[in-house]
Amino acid sequence: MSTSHAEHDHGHGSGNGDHVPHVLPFKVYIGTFSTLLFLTVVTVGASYVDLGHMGNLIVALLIATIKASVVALIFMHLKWDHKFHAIIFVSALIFLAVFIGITMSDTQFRGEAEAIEGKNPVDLKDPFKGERTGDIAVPKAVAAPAAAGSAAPAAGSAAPAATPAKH
Amino acid sequence: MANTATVDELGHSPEVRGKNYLNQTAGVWSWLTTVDHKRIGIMYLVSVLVGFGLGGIFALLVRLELLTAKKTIMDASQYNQAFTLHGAAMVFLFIIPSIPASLGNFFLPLMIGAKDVAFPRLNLLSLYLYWIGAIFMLAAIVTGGVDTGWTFYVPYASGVSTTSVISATFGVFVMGFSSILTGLNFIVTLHKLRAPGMSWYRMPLFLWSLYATSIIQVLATPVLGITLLLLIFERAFHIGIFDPTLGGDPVLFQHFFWFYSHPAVYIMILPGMGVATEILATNARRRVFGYKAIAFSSVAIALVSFLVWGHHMFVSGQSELSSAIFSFLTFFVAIPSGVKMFNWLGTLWGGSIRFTVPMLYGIAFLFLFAIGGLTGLFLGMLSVDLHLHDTYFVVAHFHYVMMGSTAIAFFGGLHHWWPKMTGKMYDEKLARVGFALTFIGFNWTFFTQFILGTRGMPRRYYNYLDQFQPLHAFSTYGSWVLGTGFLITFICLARSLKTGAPAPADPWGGATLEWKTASPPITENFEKAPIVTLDAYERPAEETA
Repeated sequence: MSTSHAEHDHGHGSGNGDHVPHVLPFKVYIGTFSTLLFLTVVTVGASYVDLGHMGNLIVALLIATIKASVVALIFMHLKWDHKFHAIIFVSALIFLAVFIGITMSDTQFRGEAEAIEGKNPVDLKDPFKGERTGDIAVPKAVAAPAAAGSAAPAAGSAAPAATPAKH
Repeated sequence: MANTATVDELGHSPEVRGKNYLNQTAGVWSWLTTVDHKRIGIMYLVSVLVGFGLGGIFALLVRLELLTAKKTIMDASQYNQAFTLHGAAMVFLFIIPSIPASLGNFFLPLMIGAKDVAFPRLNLLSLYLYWIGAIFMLAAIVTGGVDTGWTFYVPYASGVSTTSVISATFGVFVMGFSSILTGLNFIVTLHKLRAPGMSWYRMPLFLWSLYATSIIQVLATPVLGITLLLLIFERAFHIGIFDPTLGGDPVLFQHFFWFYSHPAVYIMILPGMGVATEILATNARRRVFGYKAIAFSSVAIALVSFLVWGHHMFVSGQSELSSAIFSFLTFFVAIPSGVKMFNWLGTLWGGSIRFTVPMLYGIAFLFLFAIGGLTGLFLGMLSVDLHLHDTYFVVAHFHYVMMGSTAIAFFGGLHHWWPKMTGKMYDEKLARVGFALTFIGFNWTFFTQFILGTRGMPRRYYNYLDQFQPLHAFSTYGSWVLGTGFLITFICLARSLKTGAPAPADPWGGATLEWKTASPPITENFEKAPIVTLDAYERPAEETA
């Protein structure tokens, strides 16, 4: 907490309801504004440097995060506010990250299983083909064509027809 | 008695004796411009009961149509509108505001020893916003209805349906603000206006549940607002957001919608859990077993509720990775829910139980929530959900949670606090008849639907295969019993306003602060601010000796 402003101590977060506006020196606002302008120039500059798709994305997000933090901390006076308000603010960001993050677990991976299934189409008449393991009882008549991999040659006369499903 | 030391008897001086919030001022204008949380709570109560009646009429019409496998009383288009309006009215006009805005508004300040909520004018504004939203919804009904289902799924809602989708969704959008303002008001009130000595761990657990609910209302409702606004933009201006023919993503709508609407399920159930806790503690005459466990489980449910929305979308085409994550996370909700259930049973264990009318509702809540909650686990499991999705099993499950748990808790709370709110006692015998018919009718109607669902009856179907007809007819007969039960309950409560005996300040021997003031309370709630010296539900030594 800054010590140069007498109103800090009773102006924020004391819970007594007497809210006094927090005043910062003009030069701090100018300094913040200049920092934001400078970082904007850095953003534009960084876009001309090829760091790869992810590299450029990370740099751009890093600069944007710094700029947003400067705005929140100084322009929005969060730095001098009650810590509880900072928790609320950060919680909102986490909340947004959860929303976007989990939604991306769908949008980034949608349809991947279809491609896998496309390469290994299921025989609707025998959906467990090649997958019968464990204690599932397999009728002998079906066992031969259903057997996959190394089990196929052991199936005797049925072996030529028992082309392994996954090769 | 319990929590106060400075309040003598009821603490009322001769000047205020005989005066209360109902008779302090008179006239319609005095009600429409009031900032008294109790009057606002009463107006909310009347409003949500009207919403419940409206939704109930549509429910009976839907059930009547399903009495036979072919057309019974309406055509397919009218049927689509009937189930949509049943769902929309019940969810947005009734359940979401039901307990927080009516009982919560009335009792939250009383239970913490405050004179009012933190922002009384904002409270009144939230009521007006609710009314304005409701008017838009009613306008939708009379200007062409809505047939999208209460979920407003795209692209049907944004580009195909010819009904009044914009009016209905805008109504829901406006009502969302009402919900946010109520939640915000409660959070600030609980943080700032607790009476001296009323620490967080001395608050009645109903207030913890309202606190958790308010967090969800404030955080999640804006997402619904934005989603519905985007839907309106797409429908009105053909801006491609969700409709694939305009370059949008329909599954994204479901993400947005359920990101609000799954937590909204907890907006509905958490206050019900809080009401049940109050009823069980009062009527078992015991301190709540595991106070902190119940309090924190409410907050835990609120937080976990934000992580499970995708379990509504297992068959939507979302990625398998996403489905697996959501299925896994869904099971976490069972933990705090189970914690509550065991603590409620622990509270009853060894208690001096009285089977008052509210207690009957409280016990029914435990029974019905157990069924509703556990069948939710079936649906959270990917492999089982593939079969049960969009069947009557789902319909039965969420009715056991929303109707069987929340609505039963709401009516239990209404009976519990009715003497305090109105100053009148109701006819216990008639209330018991109303309860019995409601409980029997409910299980009759909806347990049947579990069986229908597991046999493959899809939801939202107008006609169905003949093999389902006997069970559908059976369920419809149950709905008539259920409707009769509610009708008797309403008659019982309404009649008490005229003929009911005057209610004492504390008819049930409650330990919380609302029972320490007159029935009905004075406008300022307490003439002297109470000073709390005991824990929640703790009775003074002379009373328990």
